[in-house]
Amino acid sequence: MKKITYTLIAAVLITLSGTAQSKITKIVLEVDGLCGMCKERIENAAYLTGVKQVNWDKATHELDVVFRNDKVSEEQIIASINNAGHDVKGSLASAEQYKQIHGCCRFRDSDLRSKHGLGEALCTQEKK
Amino acid sequence: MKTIFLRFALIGLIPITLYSQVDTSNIELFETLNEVDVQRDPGVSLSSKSILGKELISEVELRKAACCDLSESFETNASISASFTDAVTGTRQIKLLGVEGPYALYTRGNLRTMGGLSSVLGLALIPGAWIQSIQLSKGPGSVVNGAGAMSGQINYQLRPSYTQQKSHFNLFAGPGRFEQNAVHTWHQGETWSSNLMVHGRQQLFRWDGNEDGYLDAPLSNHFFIQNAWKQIGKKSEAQYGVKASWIRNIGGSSLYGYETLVPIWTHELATDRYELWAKRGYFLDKGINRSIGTQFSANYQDLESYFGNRIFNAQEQNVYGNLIFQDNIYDTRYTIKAGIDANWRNLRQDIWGITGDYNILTTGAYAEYSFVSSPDGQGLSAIFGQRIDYLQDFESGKKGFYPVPRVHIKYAKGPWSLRSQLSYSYRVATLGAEYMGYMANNREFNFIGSTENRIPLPIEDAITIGQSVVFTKDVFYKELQLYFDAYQTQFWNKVVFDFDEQTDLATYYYGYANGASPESTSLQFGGQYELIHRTLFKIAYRFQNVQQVDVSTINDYSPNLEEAILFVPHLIYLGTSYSSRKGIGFELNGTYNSSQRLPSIGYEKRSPAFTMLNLQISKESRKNGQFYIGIQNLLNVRQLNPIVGGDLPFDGVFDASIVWGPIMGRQLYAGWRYDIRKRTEN
Repeated sequence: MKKITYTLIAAVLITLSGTAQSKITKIVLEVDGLCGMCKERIENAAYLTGVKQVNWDKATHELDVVFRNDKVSEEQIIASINNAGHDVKGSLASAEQYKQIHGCCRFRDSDLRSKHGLGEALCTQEKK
Repeated sequence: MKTIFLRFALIGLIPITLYSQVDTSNIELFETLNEVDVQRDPGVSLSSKSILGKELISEVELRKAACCDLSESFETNASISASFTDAVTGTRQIKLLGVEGPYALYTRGNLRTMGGLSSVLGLALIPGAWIQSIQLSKGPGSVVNGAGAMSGQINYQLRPSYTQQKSHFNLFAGPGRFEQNAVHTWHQGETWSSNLMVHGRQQLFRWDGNEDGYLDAPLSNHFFIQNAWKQIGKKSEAQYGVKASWIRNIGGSSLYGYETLVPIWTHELATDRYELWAKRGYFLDKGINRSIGTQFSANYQDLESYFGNRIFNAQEQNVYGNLIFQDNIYDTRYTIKAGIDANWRNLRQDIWGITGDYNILTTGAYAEYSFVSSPDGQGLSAIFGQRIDYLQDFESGKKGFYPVPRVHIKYAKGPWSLRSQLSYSYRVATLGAEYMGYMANNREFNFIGSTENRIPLPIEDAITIGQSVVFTKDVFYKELQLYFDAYQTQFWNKVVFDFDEQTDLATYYYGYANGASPESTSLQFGGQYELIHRTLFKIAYRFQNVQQVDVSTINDYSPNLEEAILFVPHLIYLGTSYSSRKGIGFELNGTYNSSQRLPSIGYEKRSPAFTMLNLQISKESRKNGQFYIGIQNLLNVRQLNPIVGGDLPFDGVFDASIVWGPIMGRQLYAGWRYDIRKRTEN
């Protein structure tokens, strides 16, 4: 059985190697959000073609992204997150974009933030 | 931050940090918050932490199946096959490790459900839209959950009352079939939360696609309602629930209700089931994680039905109670669980001219010791469980002690998890309800060993050996899952219905045939990987071999074993699932079933092999919810003659009990799901 598993793994490796590797880039973005639903939305928005892995941490607000820089750029990823209504450090979502997120995810609402035990929103910090 | 943490602590299993890793048995008195925080949920995942091998099936996966109840939720799963019990009642039953559904243990939030009269029919009582997730484990599990679960445990979690989701709605329409589901949640202060679930299902139009004069699916009307409550205290957590279900089915001849010149064969079934349950857990002050918990459930079911001239009526009362004590020895790596339980089941039924009544009280005591070498599940871990039951049947006077030992060992290193188990299990077979599909025929039933219309209480027992290997690793930043498992169940005493002798006879045998013990072997391997961006591929192959006693040789010095009828020896499953960033989903699932053995007289030797192909397309948006549309059985494969002798049902041979494939052809369906979420809460 081990043999078969190894063969299977090898097959997957062979098909994927060569194309991937060297162009892989890892970045960490600070993305504002509140809850599990936000996590889903942020990760879904960042998971563009060429993106390999996304993981947003609710507590630290850090979004780890692994992507191929020949297929997608950091700017495109940030634009996509903004487009989904979330603020990225250095690039806030427009009022129009922010409006479309669900009521329970309004991360700029200070009452809602305090209920989640969070401090100031990214956008208020940046405006200062 | 503090309040959040406190809330987490109160809602969830209190010391999440210390305790959750010692997940030994399947009893969870305290539930963790149900909002799963996994990374891009693939739908199915194999647990690497737990000592028992578990397949976690989330809502993402459940949405891939067309619909509608628990028996139909496994369309995208190679471990479980679902098939019709017969060609008239529309009842589906599942097979796990080659044996029928009733050999598995069903639990709702880890509290036993079904069994007895609802062993097969009970699956239709759990609407898919009510289910939050399913955990599937193969082979007998923990002794805490009882002495059964020969083929495995299917634990389903219903939508919780303590959740972000305020309401959930679902509408479904298939050929002549309609379903409505609604779930509503509300909170009563800090400690209480509650939800109400309603389900309706109707088959309104007569559907006879194969034009054999018999309805492909019975006309039906189902209505289920459930109210569950959850209380979160400082050191305790409790859940209560009530459920009522009503089913009315009319099947058989498509001329039901019309005046006819010749008598027609019809079937009607009416069943009412009422359930009540309570669970409570307390943390005790002393000890690291000392806790005590109770589980209680009471059920009543009434069933009235007829199959042509055959009448099957039954009433069942069932009361179950369990008291569990749990503690750590030295530190959280060593856990001990001990407790007592009692299960009383009183069943009144007449089947095939004999009495199938029983009135059984089973009282049991159990203890289970488990250890893990490290909190992240790496290294060696094991569970040793021992249970002793005292079983009394007040009807037949049978009584006795049943010791049930079980061992589970797990070794994990890096991406590899190896699990082994060796378990003994026993169960009481409920003849009428478990074999209801065998009523849809004109066969005469010969019960070997019956005296004065009474047969010995069929207590089946078996030893299961299981071995599994799971490999989980990120390959090119995406998770690759590969698995292999092998199980063998060796029965001592087992119920067998033999259809091989004559076309109008079925022979029942129960007991230990000298030297010929029925066995079931199952091998499976498969994997899943996101090979193309946002497209998940799943693949599986399954081999099964089920041997039963050849009843015609039962009086010989050494009885023979023969291949059982109606199981799929080779199964290949391929599934792809694509989900776009904009909420468009696309699912394509194919299952190849190899040919199955049929009764040796009056049928072809083997059924043809067939492939089922299902397609589903969905679109989700926050505003409009999720719309889905799909085609089941894309290749239009059918068993064209599921009813033998349907022209003259009361003369000579009539048999609707041998069903090997789909009865309905290609079916188009559509549905809609909608969630309302709360503004606040975490």
